[in-house]
Amino acid sequence: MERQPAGAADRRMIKAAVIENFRGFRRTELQDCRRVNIIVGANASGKTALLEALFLASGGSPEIALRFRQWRGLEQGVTGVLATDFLWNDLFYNFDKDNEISIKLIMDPFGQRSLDISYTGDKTVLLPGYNLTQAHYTPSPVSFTWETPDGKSTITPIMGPMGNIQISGAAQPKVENYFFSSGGHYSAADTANRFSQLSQNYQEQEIVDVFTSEFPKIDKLGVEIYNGIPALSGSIGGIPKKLPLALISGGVNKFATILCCLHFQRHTTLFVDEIENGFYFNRLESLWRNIHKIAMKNEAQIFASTHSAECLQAASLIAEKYPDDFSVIHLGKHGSKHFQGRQFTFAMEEDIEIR
Amino acid sequence: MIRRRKIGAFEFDRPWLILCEGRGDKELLHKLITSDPSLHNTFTIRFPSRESDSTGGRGKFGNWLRDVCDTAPSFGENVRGVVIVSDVDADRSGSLREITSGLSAAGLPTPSGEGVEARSAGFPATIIIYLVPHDTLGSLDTLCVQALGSKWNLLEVVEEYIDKTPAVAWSATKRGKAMLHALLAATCATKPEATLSTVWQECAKYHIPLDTNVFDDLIAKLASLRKSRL
Repeated sequence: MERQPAGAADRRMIKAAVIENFRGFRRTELQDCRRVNIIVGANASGKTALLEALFLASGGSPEIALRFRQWRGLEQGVTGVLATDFLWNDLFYNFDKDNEISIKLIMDPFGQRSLDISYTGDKTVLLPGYNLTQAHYTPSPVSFTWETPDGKSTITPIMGPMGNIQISGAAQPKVENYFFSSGGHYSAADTANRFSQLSQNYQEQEIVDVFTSEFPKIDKLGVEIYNGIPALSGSIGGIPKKLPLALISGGVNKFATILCCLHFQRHTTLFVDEIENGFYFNRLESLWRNIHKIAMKNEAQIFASTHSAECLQAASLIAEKYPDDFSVIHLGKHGSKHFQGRQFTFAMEEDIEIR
Repeated sequence: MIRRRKIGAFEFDRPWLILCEGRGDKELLHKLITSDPSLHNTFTIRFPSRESDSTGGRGKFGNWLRDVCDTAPSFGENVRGVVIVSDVDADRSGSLREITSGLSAAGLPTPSGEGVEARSAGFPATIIIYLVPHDTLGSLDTLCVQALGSKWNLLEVVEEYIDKTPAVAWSATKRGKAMLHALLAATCATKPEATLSTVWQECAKYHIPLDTNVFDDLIAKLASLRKSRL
């Protein structure tokens, strides 16, 4: 799970998006996004890429694009000049770097936010302040330009001789969002820090209440330090010590992490790849219920992918009561197809395949 | 309320969709088309089950078809014709009007009468309506009563029985349902509580016979659809 930092409140919700030349997308559009957006489609239809595009454009730094590789299980350590090309190539549609990547987000109610990623070729340009001895620190061949109604900023990662990458500055204005990869690597320390900050402001009780109602066997939720590293921990019957949630259950840990992210700050956007991973099937309905409830309260927005019919069915039980808050986005050969709340529940009720 | 159901998503993979009124009708129609080799692989059968649609009775057909068209890619890809099989009940023209009003309100092709094909831009399939029985008042149940009553030689007896109950004052459709229940209860030894939708799970000797001329008109109409060029 990756977090981008909080900053100016330049946005509330992604209402629509246009993605061009990013990964497998020549061009695709999202329209009328809702509070909870569930992305479905076959393998290699672009579900993860869609989440990546939205995450990258909605804030952050070029570093995130590198983390995508790690989340997808690709090696991160690369060295040499050729590697600088290699690192960014797969962001471009058909590896064609002549076509600039463009990701436009229509935000409600704060206008448009866009990210352009362009290839600057083999132009090795000395950056201001660099002397010849530093010449082997070269700008990477791509630059990232974010533009919002408040301004524009371009960041060009600097590639070091050992494959290290320096990224100074950040897209402005920054936003608060989180990415949960399907691999489910969540930092126990990050979650503990968020919980601790909430606790310091007496705001943790809602998380505790939801968590213990969902997992009544686990109580005494709190932050403990294990060998100097904080971890959200709990007590489980029969075990004489409190345990980090990550040691109790992957699903329990993921649930707590999602709760903490949604509670931590208002107007958060969560991107969750394969949201059903780690959850026992009969937890899915309450997972959606809680996500929706907290998202409504904190004005958060969710984009989550799934392959699971059970997961969709569980979401539809909540969507039935709140149809305007849900959307299903199917990615297929011919682009995206949207099923808004009522269509979504109809399809589930009639057992119509929309995955 | 969305019912929890087994996971097994549905796809429209046949050129014709038969849209009927309920589960019992669906089971009967399924038996009819699977009993006739000429009708194999031609029809999908569904009924509007959406409880949250407050539109009553036959009026649901229109909304249901519109929603299916909007949500099921396989409908647009594979379905070329929709045949609505509905009951005449007590008023043939009234029943037809109820269906066509629902179709029209949903912006769908609206047949001008029974057996008339309707087509329009924006909807991928032809729509046609058949009301049953074709020659009297009543419903699909009415046909089943004739078939099952003849099989067991109980037709006159069950009519006489119903005439001596409060059902004598009911509509033809309701009387038909009462007679069908009575016949099934008195003939299906393994499950007297069997219904039109569940009797098919019992021993074949208790089934409603399909090889009688009672269903000939309906089968002939369906067969003609199969041959029609859409």
